[in-house]
Amino acid sequence: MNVINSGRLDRRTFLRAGAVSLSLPLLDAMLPAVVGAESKALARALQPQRMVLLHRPLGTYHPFLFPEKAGPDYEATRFLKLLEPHRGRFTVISGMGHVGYPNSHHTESAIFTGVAPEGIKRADDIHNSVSLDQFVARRIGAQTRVPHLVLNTANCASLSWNEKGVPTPFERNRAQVFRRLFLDGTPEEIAREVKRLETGQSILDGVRGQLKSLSRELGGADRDRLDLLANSIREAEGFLQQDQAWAAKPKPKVAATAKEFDQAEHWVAAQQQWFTLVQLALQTDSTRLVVLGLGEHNQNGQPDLAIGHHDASHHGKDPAKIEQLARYEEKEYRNFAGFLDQLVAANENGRPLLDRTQVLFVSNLGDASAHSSDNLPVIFAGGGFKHPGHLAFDRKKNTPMSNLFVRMLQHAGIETDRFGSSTGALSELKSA
Amino acid sequence: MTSPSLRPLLWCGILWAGLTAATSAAEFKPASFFASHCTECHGGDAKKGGLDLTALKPDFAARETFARWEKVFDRVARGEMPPKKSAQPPPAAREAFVKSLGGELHAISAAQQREAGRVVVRRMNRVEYEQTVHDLFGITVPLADLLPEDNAAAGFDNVSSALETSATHLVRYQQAADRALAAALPAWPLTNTVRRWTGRQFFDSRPKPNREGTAPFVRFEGDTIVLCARLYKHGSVTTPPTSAPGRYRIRASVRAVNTGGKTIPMLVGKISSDRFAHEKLQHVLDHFDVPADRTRVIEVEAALPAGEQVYLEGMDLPFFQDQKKQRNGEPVGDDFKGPGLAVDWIELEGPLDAGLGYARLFGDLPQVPSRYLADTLAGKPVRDDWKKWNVPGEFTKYPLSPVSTNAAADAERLLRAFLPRAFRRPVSEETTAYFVRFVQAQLAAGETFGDAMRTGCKAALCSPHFLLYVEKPGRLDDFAVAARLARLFWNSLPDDELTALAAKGELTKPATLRAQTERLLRDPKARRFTKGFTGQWLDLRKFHDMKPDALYVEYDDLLAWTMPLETTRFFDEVLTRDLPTSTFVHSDWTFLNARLAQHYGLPGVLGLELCRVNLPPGSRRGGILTHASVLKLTTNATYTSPVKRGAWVLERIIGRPPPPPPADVAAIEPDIRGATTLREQLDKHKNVPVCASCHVHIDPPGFALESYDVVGGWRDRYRVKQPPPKGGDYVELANYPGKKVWLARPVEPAGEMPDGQAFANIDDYKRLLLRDPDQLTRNLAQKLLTYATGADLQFADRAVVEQIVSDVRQHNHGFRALVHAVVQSPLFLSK
Repeated sequence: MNVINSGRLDRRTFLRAGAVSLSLPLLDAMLPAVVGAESKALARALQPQRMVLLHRPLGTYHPFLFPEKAGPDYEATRFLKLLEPHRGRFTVISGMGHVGYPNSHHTESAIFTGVAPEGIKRADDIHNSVSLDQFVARRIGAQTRVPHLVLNTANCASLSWNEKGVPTPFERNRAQVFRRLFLDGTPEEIAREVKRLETGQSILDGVRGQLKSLSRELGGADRDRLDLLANSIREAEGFLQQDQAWAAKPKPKVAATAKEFDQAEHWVAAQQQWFTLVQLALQTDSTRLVVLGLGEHNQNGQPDLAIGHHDASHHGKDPAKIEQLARYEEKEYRNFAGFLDQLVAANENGRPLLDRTQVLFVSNLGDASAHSSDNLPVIFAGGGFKHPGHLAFDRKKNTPMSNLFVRMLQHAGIETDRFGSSTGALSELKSA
Repeated sequence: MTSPSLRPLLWCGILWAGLTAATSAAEFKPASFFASHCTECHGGDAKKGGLDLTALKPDFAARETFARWEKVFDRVARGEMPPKKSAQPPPAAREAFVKSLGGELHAISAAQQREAGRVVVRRMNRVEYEQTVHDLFGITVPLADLLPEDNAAAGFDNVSSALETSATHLVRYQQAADRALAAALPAWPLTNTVRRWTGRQFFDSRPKPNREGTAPFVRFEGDTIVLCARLYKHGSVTTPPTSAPGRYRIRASVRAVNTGGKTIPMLVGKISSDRFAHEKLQHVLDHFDVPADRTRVIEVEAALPAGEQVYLEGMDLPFFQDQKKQRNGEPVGDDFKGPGLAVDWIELEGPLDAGLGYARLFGDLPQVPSRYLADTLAGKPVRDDWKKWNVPGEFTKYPLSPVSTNAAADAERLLRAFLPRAFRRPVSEETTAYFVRFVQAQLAAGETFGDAMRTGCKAALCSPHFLLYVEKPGRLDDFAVAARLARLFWNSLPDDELTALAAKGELTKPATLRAQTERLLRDPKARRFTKGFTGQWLDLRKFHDMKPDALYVEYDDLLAWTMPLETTRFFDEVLTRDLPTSTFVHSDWTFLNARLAQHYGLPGVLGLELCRVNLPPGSRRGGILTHASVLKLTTNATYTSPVKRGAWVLERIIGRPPPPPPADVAAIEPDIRGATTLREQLDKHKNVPVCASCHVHIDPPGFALESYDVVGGWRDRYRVKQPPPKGGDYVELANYPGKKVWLARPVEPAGEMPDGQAFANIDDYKRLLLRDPDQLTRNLAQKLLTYATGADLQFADRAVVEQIVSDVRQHNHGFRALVHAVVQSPLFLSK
């Protein structure tokens, strides 16, 4: 590790995309005496827990992903071959899904919530519950400049939801995200921003007063709803206060520039840029929770692709279409492997960043040709688990993915024994 | 009058008159009816469908129990329960049961409505928010993208129960207000100006590289430029760039030359579109037919971003690259005799609403650059050279600021004018005082008058009085009705006329209400009603979400542009001419241009502008079920699914949505190699009772529509990618000479209705649907009421719906009559 100012803990540091050095967040360095080998759990509790939830649409071609054999020494399939350098750092899970979900694209909305099937039955009447990222965000609070980063490329449903079943707005402009995380404003801009946030709080205070007087005029059901709204004000004030606390602090410096994230020649490059952006955000401890929705694939700029991704996914058993689909997916798995490369290369006090980052890579469809929502392609990496290789569950009677969510939460130090439509915790995944 | 199975339905509608007239319903004692007719399957140990009627308590106050009872009511009233194979209750027993249960349910539901109304206080959704703010300030800057997506319920995303407000909303409303106010109060002077370029002026204005790119393909006749090739974006004739985001009017004087009397189709497009936007045709503003040797002035109005330019593209002209090759790089020159698109001039007018935002907030106060503000306020002489400053130039440093010599008094005066407009009703002294104090506090803290007012306005845009539709239980006051009307037809806030009528208390007089409904519908802003309602009723807003499989070689941008227009123009026609609701199921006319007519195999339609065309007998078209738009968006863009289309018809047209499929149902895996059809797989349902109970309704429309492919083309056989193992043919597409595809198995569009009536094809099926015009009107009444009031229908609303259906029946089921009936109904006029 190449810490520029190794004498003391300095938040400002210089990073380079790709080959990187950093000194953040240095919790380990601050607490070497407290955390010994005697208490791994305590050590984990004191370390930053990160979570990256990646969603891609359109399922997978099962035979090219799931290996025959369970356990660590599976024979790598076409897609898993691309991830071979990381064998042991991830688990591929077969026979897992959100049990009881309809066979439809709109289950995207529930991929990270695992809401009970009743909530996701109709595309035009969704009653969602909280997603993993927001559940964690609420519990760990704002330890970073951006409490959670919700990113989405075009044409994908909301993946992040709060307790009320309201979707979290997402960012789809990479360069803008970059600027927000890494570019300091001028002193005037910062002053203006601080003033904006202060005024924002007094506006919210006024909203509270107006709701009170409105409540007096309205009936019971309306009053209940206004009360709920009033309850959100405190939370909103919290957001503004956090932003204000961070506003004047200098942002971490990285060698990359916003321009590098402005344009991409094709979707493959665009995905790579998203992954690099996520890696930079994690590495600088700008955020610890990331949701990234991938999608909007087309064949432009890819000589080996002849038809659109969606078209290919409805292969209807046509071998030519299956091959096209496989090429799309290969590009995605290769990009994902590249992301893992980055998280392994990125060091945090001598350990790969990946060890402290739970990464879930999944699609809401199993087999898109049938629109089936069982047997989802689940790859779970990093986080400091003993990864068992291929975890094979019953393909006919799926294990709920919410059980994996419970396990992820527990591992992140959040005490809970249920989440979404869980029936337990996924005990097969052991902490390292 | 109709088939046996439809009779209970109609009869159950008629029943309402008696039901609601009865002040106290017959005493409700279901036990004996249940025991005689139901509990054999739904009681004790047998709980078919999870229903145990012996355990179902008449505890109507609990919402879930109420919903169960409602289901029981529907199944019995419709004659679906007991099932046909079982012994049926005597009609009198059924009627008595339905009447007493209906009475109970109605009474409970009506009591709840009396107390709290149907619509729990709701916030604007983000579409309404954006449009309202746009109209309030005369701006077009996008705002919806800053807000969380809205959930939908009952098929519409403005339904109160689904519109929760989170902390994120509260924070984002502030950001959206900042963005809106920045657009409403530009830093430099903005005026509505007309900028016209002759063809020559356009050419001379181009930077050298662009000019050189264009030059080989154009010639001049005086100041007129003649485009002799298909040029687009920067290469073609464009308007001057827009000065600021806003609404603009584009005009151009054009004619086709040397075309042998033929019209040239012309695209009017935006330069700024990226390739993703291009896929969704976001670059297209409109298409026109340019007549030969006769000048036509075309006109388009559009919201444009800053720096946007609008170009003209002669679509029939040879592509410029092709022409270059053909002529070996030789420029066309002045003596070129080939076809061309002559452009005398092109004109950009706008921003059409320049200054509106400032006027709404600052009235007629003058403004000066901030640099001169102190001197102006001190009464010192100030130079007015700034009126000649370049924009943005110095204005970025010294933005225009309003001049008020009496800030406190002006603030109060201006707020008293602004707040009632934004809040859509008179504002209480208490609320007004809060905003006045808020602005005065800003002034006291040293803010300029302009900044203080701007912050005050931001607070108003974040106020619950602005964001919520505040309605009190019972009959709505005139202001709330004005707000509902403006929301329904314009997605916006009331204009001055509506507000004035509300202030006089005249708006809710039936004749006035009717006249205002007519006025709102005739306004160009009523396009938002067509877009908003058809966007969700028919899913038209999802039209561009998926691109069809490459197997559909005939699908192109022009077809994609035309398809949804057929449906919106059709909708407008039915609405404007008050045609019967059954027109949506069948008509002997539709809207076509040459491209769509080709797709439908209908000769004789010329040009790209859609016009109403009478359909010849045997055209296989008519009614929205046969619109290519609907046929495309009810597929997954790769293959058709009778289930998906069938469920869509039940939900959207018949108004009897099927329940979602059971959780353990296996997905159907299509096989496009031609070996098996979905139909074969679906036929298995017939023998499984749990499947059959729903599929008996879902499958018929799905099967009938199998005659149309993924892009809405007619088909007798399924198209496949590769030669099928046997029985395939490689044939030319009927409407597309030269385009050949593989065809496999024949389509089987026949089927039978739930009542056993057989149909051979879509025409037959439509005839069977038309047997029950009341149900078509009823369905549309329900959809309109949901969209218009922002709440799903409740049990007590059924009586009102039946009243509307019977009123509209007197008007030949006219759709405009239905819209009026909805607006005049107690549901629209009460909370």
